[in-house]
Parts: sequence; C-alpha cells; structure tokens
Amino acid sequence: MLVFTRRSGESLVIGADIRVTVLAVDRDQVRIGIQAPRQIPIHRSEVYEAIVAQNQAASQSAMPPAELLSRLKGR
Amino acid sequence: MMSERIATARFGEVNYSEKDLIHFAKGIPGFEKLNRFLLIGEEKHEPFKFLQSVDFPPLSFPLLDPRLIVPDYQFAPSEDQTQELGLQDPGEALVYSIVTLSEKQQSVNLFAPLVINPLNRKAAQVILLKSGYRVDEPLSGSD
Repeated sequence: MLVFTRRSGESLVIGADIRVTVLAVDRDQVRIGIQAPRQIPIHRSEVYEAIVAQNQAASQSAMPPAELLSRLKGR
Repeated sequence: MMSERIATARFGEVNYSEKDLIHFAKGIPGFEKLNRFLLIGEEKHEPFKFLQSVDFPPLSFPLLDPRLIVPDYQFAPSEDQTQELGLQDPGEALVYSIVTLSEKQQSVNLFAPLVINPLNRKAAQVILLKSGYRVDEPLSGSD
C-alpha cells in the first residue's frame, strides 16, 4: 500500500482524472472529497463488501432448481 | 448462428449462442472478472430465474423478482446508473434480486438488484444507496 501524510486541504492525484482531497480532520474522523469521472463508482468499503459477501454466499450452492423450489414453498 | 456449449454445475450442459449473452461490463461485486452471463428462465422453475456465468460455468445465482417479496418495490436508479446501461427509462429494465437459500440463510438482496437492459443486453448490479433496502432481506413464510 502506498502511504502518504497529508494535511487538511491537501490532495492526491490518481492517474489523470482522479483527485482525492482531505477536507477536514477532527480527532478520529477525516472528511474526504473525491473528484472522479462519473462512470467510476465510489462506495464506502463496507457497503461494497456487504454486497460481495452476499453474492459469495448466494453462489455457494448449486442446488438444483427443483430443490430450491421446494425450499421456497416450505417456508 | 454458431452454438456454444458449457458444462454448468446447476443445469448440466447448456447450449447458447452469442446473441443470448448478457454483458456485465464490470462483472458483479466479488466476481469482477466475469462479464458474460445467460439468463435462464424456464416455466417449470417459476418463480425462479437464474443468472448463469459463461466465463466460469460452475457459477450461477438464483434470482427472484423483488416485487414478489415487496409488492411496492421501488427501483430508483441514479442517472449515472441508467446511462451506464443505456436505459432510456428505468421502467424498461429487467430487475432481479439475487437469492441466498442455504441452511444458514434464506434471503434476497433488495439493496443491490441485477439490472438488465433487454434492448442492448447490458447489465449491472446496481446499488440503490438511498433506498434503505437490505442486502439480506429475509424470505418470509408467504410462498
């Protein structure tokens, strides 16, 4: 991992068109601004990771459709 | 048109042709490198449909129409999300929730539905950030 020390108001540039700015620092909270092209999705990591975890859980079983149906009806 | 064949885990051998493919340009979270899928829906499997990976045939996901779980389900994508799929109107999209059905968990993902534009076959897992829906909405007792 690349590690930088930045002060409030300072930025990092990633590639040609992404800029990450530290807007404010207050004890253990940091306010961050990101400028990036609209087609680049940006999410809090816990949101994305929750979806990854759910997708992985859903993919674990290759249960045949008939068994899925009987489980659905059995609920 | 040339027909191709994959050996799937859930359905055995499946034939498809290029025109059947659904393209997830960014994959889906956790499976970002997998771009080509098939939507498998047979009458005998109703109400389930399945998203079957072509790039990695062991992988498939069971799907349900989220309106079966929440009748007034609101699919309200952002403008960026509709643009990415070339959707003129969110109402033309096919919207499915991935289902987790195991011993441990019986739930549907209402927060991040799979969205397919049937006109150009572009698709994405769309995160409905402001919706308040859950990734793991429990499947309740009603059939």
